[in-house]
Amino acid sequence: MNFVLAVHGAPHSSNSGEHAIGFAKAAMAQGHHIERVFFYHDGVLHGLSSQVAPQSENDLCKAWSELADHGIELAVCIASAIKRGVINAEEQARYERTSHTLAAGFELVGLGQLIAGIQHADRYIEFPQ
Amino acid sequence: MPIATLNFHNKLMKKLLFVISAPPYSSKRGTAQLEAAMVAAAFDAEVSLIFRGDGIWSLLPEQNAQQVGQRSFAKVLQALGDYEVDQLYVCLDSLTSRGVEAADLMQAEGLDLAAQQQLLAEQDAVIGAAL
Repeated sequence: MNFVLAVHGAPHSSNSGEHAIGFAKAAMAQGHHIERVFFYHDGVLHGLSSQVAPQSENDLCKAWSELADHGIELAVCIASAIKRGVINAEEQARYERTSHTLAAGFELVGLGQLIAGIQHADRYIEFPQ
Repeated sequence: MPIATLNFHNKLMKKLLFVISAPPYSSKRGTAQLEAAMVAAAFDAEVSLIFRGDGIWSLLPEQNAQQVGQRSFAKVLQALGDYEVDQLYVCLDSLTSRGVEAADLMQAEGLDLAAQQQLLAEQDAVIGAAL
């Protein structure tokens, strides 16, 4: 089965990311396909490159990166992202900021790509705040 | 890795239900849901919305958002009509427990829990169910 996941919660204040990662791994282990993870609302903070995970906690950035290596698209809602300071090089230039902050493996996309993902997938699973 | 732009027209358009359960003005969740619903409608999905829990306060008329320096939820809601989103529902149990009459609200059709079950069962995807 082909899944699209959505992560709505920020890292470290919500378990939304951990749950999505756990679900993705379990689904893949059973032979399912995860096409895309869509980061929306505070969930876009998963794509912030400057964050440092405490040593005692799960390194979510590493976990996302491993999922990206499996071909899963890490799609970050651009509207939610730029207002929280998660910007790629293009948005950095557009808004004249001093650095870009989107982590490797993530990509900024329009909200339409969430809808398209849902249209395309067999199942849409949301991990709330 | 570049994200593939998915083709919208290679499958039947889906039925999407957006759930609004957060109150207006103390949270931005509701307006974000309305914006997502508009995008979905613009992308030819069959969109409906249901207001539940404290989300039902979004449907009160005569909201004065200016006093809290925010956009009026009611105005954004009215703009949904421009996107041909006209299936708006409200949870009757949520109204009863808050002492609100369906007749006092804007434009939504009241549904009891059985009717909501039916509505959910008809959907291809439900967005914001646990917000």
